[in-house]
Amino acid sequence: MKDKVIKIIEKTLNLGEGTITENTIINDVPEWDSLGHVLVIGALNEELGLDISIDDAMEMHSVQDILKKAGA
Amino acid sequence: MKIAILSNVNINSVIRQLNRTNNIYQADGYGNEIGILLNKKSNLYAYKPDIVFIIEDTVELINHLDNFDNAVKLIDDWFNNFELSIEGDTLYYVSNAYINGPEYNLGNLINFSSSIISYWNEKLDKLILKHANVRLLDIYREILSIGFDNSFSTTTWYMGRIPYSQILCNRISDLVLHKVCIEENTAKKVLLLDLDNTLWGGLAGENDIDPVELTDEHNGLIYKTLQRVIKQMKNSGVILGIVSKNNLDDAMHIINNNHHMVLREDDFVIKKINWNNKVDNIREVASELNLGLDSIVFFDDNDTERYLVKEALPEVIVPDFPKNINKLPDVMVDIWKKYFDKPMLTKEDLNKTEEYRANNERNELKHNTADFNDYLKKLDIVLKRVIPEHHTARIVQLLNKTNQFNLTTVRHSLNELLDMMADKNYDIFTYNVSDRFGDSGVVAVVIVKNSDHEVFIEDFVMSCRVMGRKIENAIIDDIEDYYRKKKVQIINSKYVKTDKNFPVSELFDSLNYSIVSNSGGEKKYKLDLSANCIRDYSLKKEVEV
Repeated sequence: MKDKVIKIIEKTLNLGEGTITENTIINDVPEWDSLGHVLVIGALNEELGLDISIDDAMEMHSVQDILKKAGA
Repeated sequence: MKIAILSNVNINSVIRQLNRTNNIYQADGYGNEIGILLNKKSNLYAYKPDIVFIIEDTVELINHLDNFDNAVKLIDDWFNNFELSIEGDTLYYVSNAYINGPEYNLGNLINFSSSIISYWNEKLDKLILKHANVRLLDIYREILSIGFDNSFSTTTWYMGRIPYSQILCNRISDLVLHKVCIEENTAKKVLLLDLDNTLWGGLAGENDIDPVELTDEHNGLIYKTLQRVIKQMKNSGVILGIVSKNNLDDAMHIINNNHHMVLREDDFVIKKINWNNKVDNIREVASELNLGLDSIVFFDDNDTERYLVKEALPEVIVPDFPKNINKLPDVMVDIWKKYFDKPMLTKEDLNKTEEYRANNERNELKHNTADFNDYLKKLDIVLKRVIPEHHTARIVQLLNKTNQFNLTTVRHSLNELLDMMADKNYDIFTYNVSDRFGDSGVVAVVIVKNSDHEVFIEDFVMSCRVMGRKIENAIIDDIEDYYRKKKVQIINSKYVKTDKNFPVSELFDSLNYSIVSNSGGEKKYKLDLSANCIRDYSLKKEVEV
């Protein structure tokens, strides 16, 4: 699951493999702006069948936050 | 090409994706697309896009209304405003309608939804017919193809007003790139097909009882489906030909008699069914149809034949043949998209097969008629000067796509043409040609800059389909007569050399125009209209009023 989440983030933001790790902070990635975040959350819900709410999405600051929500 | 994408919803994900490879205008925000289009001082016009893509979410546009009359009023307003903003030099692709909004899934709004979709699409169709530079962006088809549930994302909609799922965003990016590509490139004209194991399974003439695989099931159905695709390519203006190693009688027996054949003898403009090598056959096709090798696509299941053609004729496109024949029909659709799809079809495109077959019949008449003038007389050609305003799309196509019979090769946009039509200082002569074998449609345009005593032929283009019938002599005669009646004394003309317009390099010399200057590939001519010139041609001239 962890790998899948990271892969989807990299694909959605058009980043090379290995750019995102489980320790990445969202603000440190220039491509991960507000539009990028909407697309990442959309892709995770669409592709992994996750159920991330808007409130939860707004409070995510790191990959760790996302993984916690994804139950990975 | 410079692209702009405007929308009433957030399509920044599409723009971001396209931005990786293309230069794209990005509006500030979304939902103000009409404001941006109407404001000629907006940064859109500073950007000067070649193509503007307009993607409209229907439900957002009708503001979630459920009353048909009120919704229609919003649609009418949108179209009125959009039409006001249209500029002649820009191309516009406008999306068709779809209804996305949970409340429209309720039973009482189902009829409403389909009425709104039809209303939008009919308005759009009318607009496209009226404006040669407005085209359809078929987003609905993409939604159908991936399925409605896969097309929209509630997460991105609620979070950022992005209605489309990532899959649909990818589809829209691809669609936009495809449209840019067909606007930039010239489509191919001819599809040359092999027969055995290409149009049907098995070998013609090998087995008398069940000659080839062409049926309504199994492999036979694949070939039949492929033929259905090719038939529609023909109906959209692709010229079909056969280049195949077979006994002519065996092949023609199947083509004319097998009741599963979708393609029949009449669908093919040219047939090279013989045992000669295919390279020579393809060369002959190009010369008989009077077309360049670079307008030909050759499709054959045989690796060796494809290799030989690719090696000897690098200008000819030779697509790969699928390993699994299940893919044949889809591969052919891809070939159509890649090489034959055009931004728009004119009446002349749709009649192409007729036109080229008629040309072949003319050639036969020519072989059987000893004297050329006698042959021309037998053709019963009618040259009709028609009203240019009725044929703007075709005139732009002729001016921009004609290479051989083009005296100056100056390209004109639709906007420039419209300006010249409105300008008293320009006369535009447009000609339709027909004969006993068929109507070739509008095939020649001459643009003349006029003044009281002296006029200048600035452009003269004619489709290569009607070359070699002395039609140009009659056109020049018609124009000379026109100005003689207006008491003009001098008619000027010129020839500007390009790589391709050699066939007309001596045109005005042959019409007894005297050379005024000749340098740097540009020959200038003039003719005194008071001198009586006898022009050699055999046709009947008419003028549309």
